[in-house]
Amino acid sequence: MNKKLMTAVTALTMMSALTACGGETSKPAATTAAQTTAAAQTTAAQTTAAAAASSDAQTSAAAAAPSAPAAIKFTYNANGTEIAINAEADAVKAALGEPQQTFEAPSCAFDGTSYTYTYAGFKVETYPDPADKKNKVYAVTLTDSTVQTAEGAKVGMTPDEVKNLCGEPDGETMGYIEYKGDGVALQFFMDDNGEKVNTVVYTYAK
Amino acid sequence: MLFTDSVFIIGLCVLAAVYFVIPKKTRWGLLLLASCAFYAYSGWTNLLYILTTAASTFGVTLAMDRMAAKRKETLTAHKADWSKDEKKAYKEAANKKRFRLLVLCLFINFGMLAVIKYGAFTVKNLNSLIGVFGGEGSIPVPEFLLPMGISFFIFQTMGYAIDVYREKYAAERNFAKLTLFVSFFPQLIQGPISRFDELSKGLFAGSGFEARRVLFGVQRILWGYMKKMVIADRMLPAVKVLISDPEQYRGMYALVGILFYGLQLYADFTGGIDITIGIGQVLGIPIAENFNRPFFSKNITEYWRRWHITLGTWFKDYLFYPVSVCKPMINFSKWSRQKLGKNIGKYAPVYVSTVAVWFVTGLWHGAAWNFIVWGLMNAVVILVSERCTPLYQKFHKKFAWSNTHAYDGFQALRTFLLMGCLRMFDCYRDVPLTFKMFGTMFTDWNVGIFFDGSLMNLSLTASDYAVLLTGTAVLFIASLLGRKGSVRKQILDRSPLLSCAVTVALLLIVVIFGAYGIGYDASQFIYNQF
Amino acid sequence: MTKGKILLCGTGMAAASVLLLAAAQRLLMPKYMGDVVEGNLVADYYDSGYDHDVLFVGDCECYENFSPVTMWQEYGISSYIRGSAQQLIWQSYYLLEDALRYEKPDVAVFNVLSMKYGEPQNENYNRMSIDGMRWSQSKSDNIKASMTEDESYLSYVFPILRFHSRWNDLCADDFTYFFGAEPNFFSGYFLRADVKPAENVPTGRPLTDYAFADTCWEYLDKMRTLCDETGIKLVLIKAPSVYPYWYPQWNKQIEEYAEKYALPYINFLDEDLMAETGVDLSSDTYDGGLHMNVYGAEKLSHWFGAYLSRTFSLGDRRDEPQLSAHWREITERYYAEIARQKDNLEKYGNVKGEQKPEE
Repeated sequence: MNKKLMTAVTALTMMSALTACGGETSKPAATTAAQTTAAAQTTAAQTTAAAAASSDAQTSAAAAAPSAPAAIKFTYNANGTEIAINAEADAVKAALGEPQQTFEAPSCAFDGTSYTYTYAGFKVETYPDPADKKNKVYAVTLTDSTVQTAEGAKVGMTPDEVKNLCGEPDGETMGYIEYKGDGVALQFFMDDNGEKVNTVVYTYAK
Repeated sequence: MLFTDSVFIIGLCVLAAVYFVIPKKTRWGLLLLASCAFYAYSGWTNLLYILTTAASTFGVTLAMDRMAAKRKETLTAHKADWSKDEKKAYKEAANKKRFRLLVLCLFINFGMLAVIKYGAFTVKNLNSLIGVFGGEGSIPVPEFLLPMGISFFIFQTMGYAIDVYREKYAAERNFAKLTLFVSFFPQLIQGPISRFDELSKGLFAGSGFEARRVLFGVQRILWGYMKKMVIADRMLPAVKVLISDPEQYRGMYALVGILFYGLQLYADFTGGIDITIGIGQVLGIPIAENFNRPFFSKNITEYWRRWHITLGTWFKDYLFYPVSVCKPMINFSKWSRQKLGKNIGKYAPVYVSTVAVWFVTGLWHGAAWNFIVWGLMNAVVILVSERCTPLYQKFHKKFAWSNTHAYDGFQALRTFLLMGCLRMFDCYRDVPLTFKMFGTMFTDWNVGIFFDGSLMNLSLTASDYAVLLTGTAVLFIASLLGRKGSVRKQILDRSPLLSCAVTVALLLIVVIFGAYGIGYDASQFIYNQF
Repeated sequence: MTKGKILLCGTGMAAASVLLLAAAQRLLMPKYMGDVVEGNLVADYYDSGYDHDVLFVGDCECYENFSPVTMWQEYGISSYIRGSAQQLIWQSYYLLEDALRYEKPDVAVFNVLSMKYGEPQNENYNRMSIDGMRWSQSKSDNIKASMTEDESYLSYVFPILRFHSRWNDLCADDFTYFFGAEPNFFSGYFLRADVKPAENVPTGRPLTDYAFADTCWEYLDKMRTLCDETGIKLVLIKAPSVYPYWYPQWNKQIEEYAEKYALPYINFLDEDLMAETGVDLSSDTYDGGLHMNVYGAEKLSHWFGAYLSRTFSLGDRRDEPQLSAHWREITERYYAEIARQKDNLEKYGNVKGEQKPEE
């Protein structure tokens, strides 16, 4: 009888503690970098909806309000290969295949090498990440109209055409239109007249 | 400010130099200034907490002393004309008043601690509870920045207040001196929790320079830095890796985690205490020991007499005994003997007191269920252990080999692993996850990790392992030698030159092999958070 | 124990600690005699004799693109290149300020690429640029301006606090060069004799903002003012390195600044000028256009030496015996090094003489 009571009391104590913890969302003391990065990501839809246009004094005449554009994707898809800024460059290069041209730029004092890989219609720039010594993608540049962003924007379009596809930008001058999200900037640079896009760039947002 | 901050180390050197030069009577004043500066470094507003504790305790303890003096005076005056009952009644009434004052002081200080440290936890759980009953638990959760060492200095000061109530010694009449006792900087980060009568002797004495004492103090400080920076901080990245991804690091990895965390916690905590006691020794202020070779313990009860000693004795003196002998508990004891039979009835009060104390001990470590469960699990193991004592005695009587050193070693290892398992609650900070990870040690039999190089993927290089193994061996040997008496004394008696060489060597080891600077995480002492 | 003995013991322990820590620091600090030699550039200046007509300050576009030996041999101009890897503009300023404690050159030449870096960049480069400086207010200011977030001033005062973890990476060089490195620079010039033509050089990706940071303009002003106050002529240059890309928008800002303050600005990337210097990026660079090899450096120096001599009336000092002796030693080493590298290129295909594993 006494032993049963002892057991019951012990079990009850343990159970009450466990059930009380059922809803707790306490985490282990350390979080990995991956968890931190994942926590920092927001959906593209939230970004576009929340972003306010921050144009400067050289803003061109107000464009017609774009009709419900698709949420912006801040990675570039090259023939089925998704290229994200800060992705490991070796994996990206392996997926894309051999580039048409490669430019190597060793850092001073042999502290890693930056690469520029030229493919048909776009270039991928990499940099050596000092944290893990691996090469990471720094920027993707679309250089001609044979390639386009996920939204369909490309070299040769007018600023209005870009805004119709991508929505209201986060930054705009005569020289460029910029969208930001997930720590990445998608930039559309204009020619000297400010009439047509001559370069599209994915890179780190400042 | 941490012990490992360069500001602290430089400040300490300057403090020691000035301390021995200024007049003896002013030395405690310098310590008070240093303690205030130390605490204010983390924000001037934090000093308010220290001042609140000091001021409330000062006022209450002086008042209690005055009341006690008046009570004695009155009783002496009426020694002849009052009856025994009259004297008893008067005494009880007088003590009741003093008790109310004590309760006020405890309420203010523990209340402050409860709100700051446990307010958010309580409200979150209340909201959950309301949610269980179908309501909307939307009480706003208060968020406070936890002032450094608040658990330590409040417990220490409340111990003092209770001692004054118990008339163990007179209250300190100098507010500044009491504030120094509350805020003495080496103890602020992680204890130990000192008793006023023991600490004050050295704290206000203004001891002068004494070569041997200062040498021993410096050696202890360096020994503490060695444990903290060479061993604990080096182990930290591996522990972080192991608990960061429980799905990946399960089974034998959990066992590795127990070993690594055990070593890291021991080196970190005892290292910090060594620095604290070493600073005290340099300044001529004896500070209570907080550890006594805990990993040599043969059972959990012994372990808690050797680990975080001052916290254990604080709870024993100020919670366990008062709870055990209070009227409700005595009544409960009578009731349980009648209703639950002689066997259980005899022990029920002890069990309840033990569970209560360990509940509070767990809560003291953190405002989270994992700490509470950790505390309760300790209580369960202790009580089961107590109940099995007759069995153990029979066992030892029957088998002679169970009384050998080898068996002692087995018991020590068993206790280490047991405490390591309990410490998993501290690592994973999630009760169901902890039980799950404990279970994987028996279900996921991935022993291959010890042989296939997996242990080299825990942010530790071969050199790190070499340093850790060497460091552990040195700790073990020092502990073995320490059983014969002070190791520093043994070295000095052997050869003063050797003693000096050891001091210099310790300094070099800390500077060269310490895991600090660029490439290492600047890690806080684990017990800073309490 | 008597007071005297206690004092002796204490002093002994302190002295032993200081000596042993100093020795440990000496051992543990990188010697920069292996793959990365650039770490010795800054300290090398203090063995230079402090007798220079021209002082270059700047990054690798300075110390790899100009040959002081050529300028001496052809024009009798004594010059030194105070450079280091990715040397930031404020580091260049403080190195110039530091040099003025020892000498006063007639001309200071600053390569403007570092105007693109407005913030501390890299802890490794900071160490290479600063550790070699002798202690002075300039060094202290340089540290404060350069420190990245995770650096501490104390680690520059006591470098053992930074390099203590190298106990794990000690190599033969650390013992061989315990008492001092034997850098192989030529009045601050880092020599390479191999050739890798510039190919597929990408044009720069457009930027949303071409403005240089305020800090950079501040230090350019300080450099100009320092030169003005000390009577030194400041010359701004952009070396003919094709990468990192030097944007026209950046170039314009420097041109405007130079015009405003009547400073000479020579952009060696200019096609006409490059043709004039004779630099050929198919043969005069060792790393695809980022830096000149010795052949390119000599061509540039031939042109630049003439320019400096003409513009600032720098005398031909080849008739000064002491200076000549100094430059003779440098020149001998210079040609020996060229020969050594050429020989290694022939035998092993690389300038270091590293044997490639047999396939």
